[in-house]
Amino acid sequence: MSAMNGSTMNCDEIALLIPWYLNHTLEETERAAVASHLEDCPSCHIEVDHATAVARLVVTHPTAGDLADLVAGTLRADEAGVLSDHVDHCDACRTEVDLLEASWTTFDRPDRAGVVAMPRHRLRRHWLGIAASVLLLLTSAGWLREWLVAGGTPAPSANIAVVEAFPTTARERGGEVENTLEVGADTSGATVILMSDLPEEKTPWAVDIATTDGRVVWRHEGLERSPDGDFTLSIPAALLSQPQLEITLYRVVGGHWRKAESYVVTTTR
Amino acid sequence: MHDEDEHLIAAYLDGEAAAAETIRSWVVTALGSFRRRLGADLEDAVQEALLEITRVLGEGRFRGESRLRTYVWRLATSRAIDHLRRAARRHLVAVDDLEIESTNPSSLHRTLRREAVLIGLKVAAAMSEACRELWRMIVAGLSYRQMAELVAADEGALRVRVLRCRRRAIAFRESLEESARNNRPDATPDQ
Repeated sequence: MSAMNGSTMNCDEIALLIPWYLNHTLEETERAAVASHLEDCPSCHIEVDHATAVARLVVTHPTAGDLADLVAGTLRADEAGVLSDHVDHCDACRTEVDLLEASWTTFDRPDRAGVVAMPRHRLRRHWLGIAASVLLLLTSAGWLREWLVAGGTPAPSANIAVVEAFPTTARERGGEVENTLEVGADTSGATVILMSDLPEEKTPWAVDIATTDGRVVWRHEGLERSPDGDFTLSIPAALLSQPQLEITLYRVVGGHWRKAESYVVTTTR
Repeated sequence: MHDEDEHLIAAYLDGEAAAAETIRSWVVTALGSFRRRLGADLEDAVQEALLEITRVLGEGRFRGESRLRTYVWRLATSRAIDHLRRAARRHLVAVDDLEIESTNPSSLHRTLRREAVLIGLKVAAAMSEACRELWRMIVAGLSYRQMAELVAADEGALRVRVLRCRRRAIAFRESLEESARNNRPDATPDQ
């Protein structure tokens, strides 16, 4: 009879079986032998405590609040280091951090959209249109002053319209494409979630928005894709005066920006 | 606390529609990237977050260490993650004992429980991936026979490997705990 199967096990042999004693998968003879040994051996209870502690360690995760603090950068450096190390080896937490980062990017930096330069060739091609559009926006809505005064964040009374937009290719595939932004008098911006079935790839993403007459009036490079594959875009209220916006998503292919998807968003009041 | 935030909180607690809409819009924006994950639960998550915000503001627990907008983001996204965790039924062994819920990040590290969580995470991160995987299998309820088959190892060798992983992890944890005790301002050698 093997010592591991009998009741004559010593402490070393017991220590080897404790993890499976704790997860209740030992065969009855082994389980009974471990239980009997533990009754008479206080020192082996330390092994039980240790095994329990290690089991906890591998399934312990930072709280959601801790992960949010990590993304927002409000943790002490040493705490952030510990959490980052955990996130590096924990797929579930990595997914959560990706979601939080996508949210934080949209939430914390609505002002950054539109101020990052597009590639020069695009700028050259559209500079007249851009200048005219900016002038139009400045004179018609005065949004830039308001935007700057507010430090790039929506005013406290902001009301953000939200739409989940499907690409025009969805219509071609027989899908429903009705992307409607409901805009009220107090709407100070919009969040457009660009749904996409494009394959996952490591590429820079950019987006521009054109009005119904085809003028590109707003652009943003460095768009981040969420783990679910969609893009969250914050756009200022001034653009919501347009009855329709055509949003074009670009990705880099062979070193050049190429159109990836387009979306048509209709505004209603 | 920032004046704007103070006024907004007062208006919100007074039930002013504009203030309520502002905070709701922050929550909705914060949860935009969770939309697909939460699906039909999105509105529940929004309501859950608003309820918690109302509770926190009503109890005066927001002390203005950050701007209210940032605070609302943290609270809303944390609740959304909690929602997803519940939905996924992630197995958190005794995590209630270990996790600290705090609305004030700067105060977290002052607690011993916080220290225990950080030490635990540090030890888990220091374990080899192979060790973590073996212990995850144990937590998942696999027998040593099943595990030996999965990792193509002899049963006896597997049991020894698991024991070594455990001993290394515990030794590391003890060294971190000792170091933490020594670094505490009120630490004494025998603590």
